Amino acid sequence: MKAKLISLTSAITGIFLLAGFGETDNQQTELVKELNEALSLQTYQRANLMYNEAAYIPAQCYTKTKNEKGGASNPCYVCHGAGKRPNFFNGTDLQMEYGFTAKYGETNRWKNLFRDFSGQIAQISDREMQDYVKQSNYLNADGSIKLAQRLKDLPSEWDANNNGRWDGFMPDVYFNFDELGFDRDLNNKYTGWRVFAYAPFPGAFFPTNGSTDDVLIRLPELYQTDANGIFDKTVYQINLAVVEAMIKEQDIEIPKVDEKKYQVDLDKDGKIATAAKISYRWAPLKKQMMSYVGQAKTAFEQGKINMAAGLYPVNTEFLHTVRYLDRNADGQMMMSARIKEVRYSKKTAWNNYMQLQNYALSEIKEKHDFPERLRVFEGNSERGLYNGMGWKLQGFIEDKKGELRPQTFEETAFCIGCHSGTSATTDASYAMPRKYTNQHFKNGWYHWSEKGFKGAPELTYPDGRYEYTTYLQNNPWGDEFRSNEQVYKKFYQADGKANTAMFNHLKNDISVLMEPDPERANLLNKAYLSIVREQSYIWGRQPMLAPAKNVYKFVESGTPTDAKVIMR
Amino acid sequence: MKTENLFKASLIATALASVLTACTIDLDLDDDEDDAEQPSQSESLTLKFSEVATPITTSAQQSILASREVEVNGQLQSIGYNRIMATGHEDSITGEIFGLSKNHMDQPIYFEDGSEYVCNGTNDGVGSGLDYNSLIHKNDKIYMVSQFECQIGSMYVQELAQDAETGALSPVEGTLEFISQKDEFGGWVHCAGQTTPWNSHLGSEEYEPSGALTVGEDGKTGSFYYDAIAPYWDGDLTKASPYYYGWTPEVIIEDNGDVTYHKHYSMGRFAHELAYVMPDNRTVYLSDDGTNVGLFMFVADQEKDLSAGTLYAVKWNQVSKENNGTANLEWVNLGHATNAEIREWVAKKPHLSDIFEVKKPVDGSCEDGYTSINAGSHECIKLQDINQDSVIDEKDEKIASRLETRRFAAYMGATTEFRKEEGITFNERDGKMYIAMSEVASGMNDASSNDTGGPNHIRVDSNACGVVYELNVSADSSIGSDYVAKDMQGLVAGISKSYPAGDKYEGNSCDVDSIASPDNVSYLADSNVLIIGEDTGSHNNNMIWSYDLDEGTLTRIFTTPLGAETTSPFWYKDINGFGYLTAVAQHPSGREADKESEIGYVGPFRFSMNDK
Repeated sequence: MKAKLISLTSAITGIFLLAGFGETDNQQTELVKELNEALSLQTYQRANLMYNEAAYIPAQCYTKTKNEKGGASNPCYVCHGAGKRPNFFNGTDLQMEYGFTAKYGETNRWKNLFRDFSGQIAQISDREMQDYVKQSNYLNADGSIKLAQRLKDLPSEWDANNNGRWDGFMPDVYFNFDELGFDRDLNNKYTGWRVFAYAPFPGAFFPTNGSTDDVLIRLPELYQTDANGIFDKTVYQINLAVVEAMIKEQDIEIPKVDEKKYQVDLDKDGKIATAAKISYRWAPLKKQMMSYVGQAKTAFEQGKINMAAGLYPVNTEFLHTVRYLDRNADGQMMMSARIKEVRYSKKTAWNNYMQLQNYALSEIKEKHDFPERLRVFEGNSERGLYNGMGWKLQGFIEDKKGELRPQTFEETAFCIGCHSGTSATTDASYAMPRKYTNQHFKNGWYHWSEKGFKGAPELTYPDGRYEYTTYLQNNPWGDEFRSNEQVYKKFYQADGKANTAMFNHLKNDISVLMEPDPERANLLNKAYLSIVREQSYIWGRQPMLAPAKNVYKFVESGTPTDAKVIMR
Repeated sequence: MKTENLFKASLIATALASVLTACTIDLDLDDDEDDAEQPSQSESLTLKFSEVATPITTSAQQSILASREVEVNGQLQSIGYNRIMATGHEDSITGEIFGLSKNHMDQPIYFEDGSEYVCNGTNDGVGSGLDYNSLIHKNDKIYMVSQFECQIGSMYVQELAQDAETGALSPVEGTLEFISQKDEFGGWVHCAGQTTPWNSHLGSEEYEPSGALTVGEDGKTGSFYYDAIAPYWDGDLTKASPYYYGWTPEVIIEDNGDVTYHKHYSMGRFAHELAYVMPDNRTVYLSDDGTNVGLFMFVADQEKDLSAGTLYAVKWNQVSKENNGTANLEWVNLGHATNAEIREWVAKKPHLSDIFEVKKPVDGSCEDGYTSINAGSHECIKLQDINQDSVIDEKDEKIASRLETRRFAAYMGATTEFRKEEGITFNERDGKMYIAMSEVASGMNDASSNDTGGPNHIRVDSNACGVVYELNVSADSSIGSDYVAKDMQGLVAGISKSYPAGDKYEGNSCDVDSIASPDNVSYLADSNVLIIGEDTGSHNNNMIWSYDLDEGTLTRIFTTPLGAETTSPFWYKDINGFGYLTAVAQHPSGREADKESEIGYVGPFRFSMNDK
């Protein structure tokens, strides 16, 4: 049966003016034609053909590290270094040279980076932009979930497996949080989702580079319930803290609890009494184990579920929304009500350390044996795409009218590159290992709408180096494309010397780095909206205010970056 | 015919041995030991498989599809795919776990999370696992010797029960045993293998670690792949050496049922894909899997004993570039060696620089005294006084010929321009050997960048879809073997094809009606059938083909689920009257999890028409 192609092409019918390369009418026509062709390959089913067969290689990997002054920036190290087990990837070599292995990957197909969107930006008024971002495309005015309703009344083109119903993630987050960050539905019933605050990953995820975002986690019901199978918020809180301790491999503070109730020595003080923290002591080979509480405790003791440092329980879910830059009445940056993307991931299988090492080693051998072979992914837009390491990823993105639709297969493949195969992830995740925790406001369990970046401290590496400071020292622009002049000018003087006062400020208030000024925010929103209106995500989702100068359109594997290796 | 007599002799010896060990045996020789070599089996076979269609629908693309029927000499038989056992299978009596790697003390290896080193990919089906299984019909039993492709590679032996009525094979509880490789430094990345004519399991160690790795004081080299051998040595890498790995292991089931393990250092060190023994029990062809690699032949001094012999590397003398290349083959003598002679030098843990001085070329050429080679990259090499006896002579050559076989072959003027040699099989009926070349590219092209500094022997056009080559084999008195390959030309070639968007075959970049990236090949004795397995990214689904040698036609007989990478087809013509085509499915379909690699077979076939 023929894969169901979707009507994205109609999305750009009638667009006569694409932003382009300062092009002539003929070039415009060519560009429209090319985009039409590329969009005609888009499908919600498993794609046999993609416009960009290497859609999993992000645009950032084509950054031109060498600068005009003969030096080199290194934004690469944040993703490519020595992984911490059970992430057995070591990509330190990718800091030193471009290494796509396959020749196909040497060509940068993220065309939007090089286009001049100024014409389209100019056509969007400030008012129009503001109204747009303030209007939710996810929630209805009554708080119900618009997207879920659309999925229940499923458009046939979204039904990748043609069974008349949506089998993918049914959005059930209401963004209606209690004082502990637990989400509740319209009847005030807990949805199981819990929101947390985290230090944004260096680079593309700084709001100053285009978007705000938030992340929620949900453990399976088993972890939410007491020994009798009844939902118990304290049990759930403790189990989330245990998971956090296992992910971060450190002690995690919790509100004081009665250990007798759970028959677990949570703080490992040798007594079943009270505990105000989960003590991380885990060494199975020395018979040092951790424990869950409630029903999960029993299941774990019976060997039905697993636990290991750096790994989440099976069926853990993450929800990640990416949004526009908005501002409150006080002029403070905040997340927009409109959602650019709803990104969802679920852990579908347990892979132990052996299996994960096997994956990393066989990847090395595969590249040696079949250098030209590109990654292929199982799944489809509805079920999600599998990352090969136990997670499936799925997403929704704005259609040309701004309503959320499922991502196509190719648009989803875009997610996989960062959520597998780099040394930076902890069990495919970025945010949870970076969650604010002990001593922080609400131990980090809150939504950005409650408290923003103001006063949030910088994270530090184990050796004491400040994370963002290190990043800015190695990549002074704060974005991978060396295009964010605002950041550069904030942290560096005209003569290239560091602005020490600003770096000092950063340590205790990351908002100075995170937040763009209103003008930049507005332009970034407009640039992104231009992409939305074209539906040209397969050419890149990064809003650029000017055509990128510091990115390769083509770079041979083996080309040295000239960058100095940085260890995290 | 000479070889037949030899087989008869071995048959009698085996039968006698069985009697002496007082096993219950069936003395009907037509129906028992070493059936595969029985004279009665020379009856010619014509097979015609029903064809499996190229999977188009999503559900077909996610399934294992196998031919349901085969016509054998005009008689229709039902066949299907059947599973024998999967990785991780635990024997409740011996307690052994199928695929568990053990350390240099034969103790199970554990990871920090308490997980056992069971050679298996992720539950999404990505990674390395079970690669090849030999079915050994001996001592009135069917043994299965299995090897795993993990970096610390394990081997297991398991007895199989055969249903007398249906021929179905199943594991016998209480017989799964680990095969220790500790006497020879352990096992490494076991790839393809062969059940030899004398019923032993001949394995392989692929992707050999470079002898140029800089070994630090802690034994670490910075090569993540090599350093991951540490758990084998209890975390102490100073006990390891890159030269321990990249050899050819053999497992023999002795007449008393004991399992013995040997590593044949005499056969050289490179990226062994497969060692394939010819019917003379002496001549062995060895394929080298990689870019800019050689093709080797070993002639053992004694039959059925691979511990000593002479190693040769091929020189491709091109006749034309037609047929994906046509060449006469010349065999360059790399010298004689024994396992013992070479093991002594392996144990000394040398560094490449002890064997060859390797210099980078200056302005594309080598200074006097250095030989310019390209066995992976352009190098200028000079043989060293390896044994430190103050002369550089044949003794040093002997060591270099086995420890640095590919470099030494290039140094001696042989061809190191092949790209991804894979399976080998021999057709005695027509005196032809077949070798799969996963793709024709790189050093095989004329004056490609991979030819810089080398002789540019192979000058053919690329074929990204790969080619199965045919080699005529005949006696050569100067070499002292009746099975020397004399020439080489393409037999079956894949066809690059671009299917337009919207076409039902879109996404395939090789014609769906022909092969893509051929991997394992297996010829069914006395028949018209050459089986060709794929390991490809150029067909949406990997396929197994039956190539009719008489008609020159391809029939698609098996397709694997999306993302499933390899199967290792190998023919067993007659085990108590049943025939099997074994296959490893590395990624069985239809399951959300627990996608362990498994060994199974297509069959059973009935090739003996005169019994059962």
